[in-house]
Amino acid sequence: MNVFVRTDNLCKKYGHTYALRDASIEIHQGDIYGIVGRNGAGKSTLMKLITGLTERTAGELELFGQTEDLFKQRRRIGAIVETPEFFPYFSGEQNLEYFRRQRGIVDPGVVERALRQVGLADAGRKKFKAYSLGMKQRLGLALALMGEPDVLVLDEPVNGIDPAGIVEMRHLLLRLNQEKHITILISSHILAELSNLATRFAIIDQGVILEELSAEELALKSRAYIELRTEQPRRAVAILERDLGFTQFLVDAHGQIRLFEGFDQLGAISQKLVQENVGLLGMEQRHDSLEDYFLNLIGGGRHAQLS
Amino acid sequence: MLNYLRSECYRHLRQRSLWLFFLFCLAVIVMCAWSFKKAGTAPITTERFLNFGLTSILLLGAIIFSAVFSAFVHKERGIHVQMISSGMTRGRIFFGDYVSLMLMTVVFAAVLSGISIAVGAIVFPKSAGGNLSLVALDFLKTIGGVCLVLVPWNAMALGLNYLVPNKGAAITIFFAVGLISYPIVGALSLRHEFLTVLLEFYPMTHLEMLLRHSLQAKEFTVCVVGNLAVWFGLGTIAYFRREL
Repeated sequence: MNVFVRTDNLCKKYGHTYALRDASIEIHQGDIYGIVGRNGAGKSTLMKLITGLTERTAGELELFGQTEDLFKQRRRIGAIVETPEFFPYFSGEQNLEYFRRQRGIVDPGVVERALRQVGLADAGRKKFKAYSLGMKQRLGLALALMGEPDVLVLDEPVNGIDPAGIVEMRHLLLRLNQEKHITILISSHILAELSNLATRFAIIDQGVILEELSAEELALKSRAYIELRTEQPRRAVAILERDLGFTQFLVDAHGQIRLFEGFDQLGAISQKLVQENVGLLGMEQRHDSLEDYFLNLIGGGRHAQLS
Repeated sequence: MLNYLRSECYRHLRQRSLWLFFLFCLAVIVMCAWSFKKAGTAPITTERFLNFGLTSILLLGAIIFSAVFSAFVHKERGIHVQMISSGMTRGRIFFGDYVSLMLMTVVFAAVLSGISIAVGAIVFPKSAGGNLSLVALDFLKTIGGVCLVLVPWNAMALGLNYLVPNKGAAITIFFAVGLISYPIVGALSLRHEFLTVLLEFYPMTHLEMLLRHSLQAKEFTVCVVGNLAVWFGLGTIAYFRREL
């Protein structure tokens, strides 16, 4: 599989502070590559370096196998970095028409098609200044799609979009990836959103990429557990320990029990708790989401801030 | 570059503020003709209207054109983000903006001068033995001079817009540097020789020469090259160093 974007020990320093340090990632053709990190973790800096909005302090950047003449390679990239801005006195359609001419795209029909693709066909004639934040994001995506890019770079594209819009956006991105084979680099602090979309992940914190892994690897690393809700958690714990011999469990502040073993003994566990009149309210097999995994990875006191 | 100019042309022609400014300039020309017609005991001819009235207004108007149009041309940070992330170089954007500014101001000056000639011919009688085509030719020569004067003024206006991200502040500095400091430097140049040399680089010096019909090619070239070098240098350094 071709590597479309590769960074090798990429660094960006503002004054004496590193916004990004030794970032090395590989984005393969067809990937949906999710960058997960808190605000200020360095996601946007990485995106800005890839899209040429800022210069690197050190390290290598390779686009489509090339390390030279990156501006030319960037014509194969469509990007939304931060909240997209356009001319406020122009309609969405006029804004796209302006960029169509600028990019030398001959076919005028691309404007209408791009607007339709992102669900803005009816709002194309509305002035940009009257757009909601969600509509601005959609117009930004329409612009990014207009040049039929090989790679989409999307910096928090669901910011300001309502829940229904987020689902629509996710479906649109999946469709673009599967039908048009567009490789996608997407960042978000809405971690659950990325876990439903990305095929590869990079977890970033304080400018450092902590881990790069595939969706499969993440699934393996996420811890599965049985969640037990009872009326008497203390008694339930005693039964689990004494009668069933389990040792790997946690009880949270709300009295919910997380049991990290015994997945093949669900029937026996429930039967024993019912027999002992513990008052079993619920029992469910679950596994940690991307958020949980991420929080565990960055760990410590910051866990509390995030949750 | 051609695509960039095409897109800028598309944008400018749809900018309402630009058309309002055009109407304002038209109103100034008509008002000027009307006041010339009403005032003065001696009969005003087409020749006098064009040479003494409108030429001066258009020459001084060139400074305003530079200030106003550079503000029209200059784009907000977010638009630069869109352009650069799609593979456009900062150099192309900066020089594209300069060419676009020159085109706009020159076309604007040319259209207004054409209208001025028409207004002059319609409203005022020809002078005895006067030839309207020669008058128009002379007037158009002056407009050609205006276009040349626009080269350094536009370089200053654009350079300042790239140096100072706030449009209002950039225009204020433009007038402070280009107009207000000019008589001050002029007065001080009597005492300091260095300021005499500096005065040569002022676009205002050459505008005055045009007003007196005494433009000198050598000095003008020095002014144009000096201003292009200074303002392009400062503007591009600021733009290339700016984090977007």
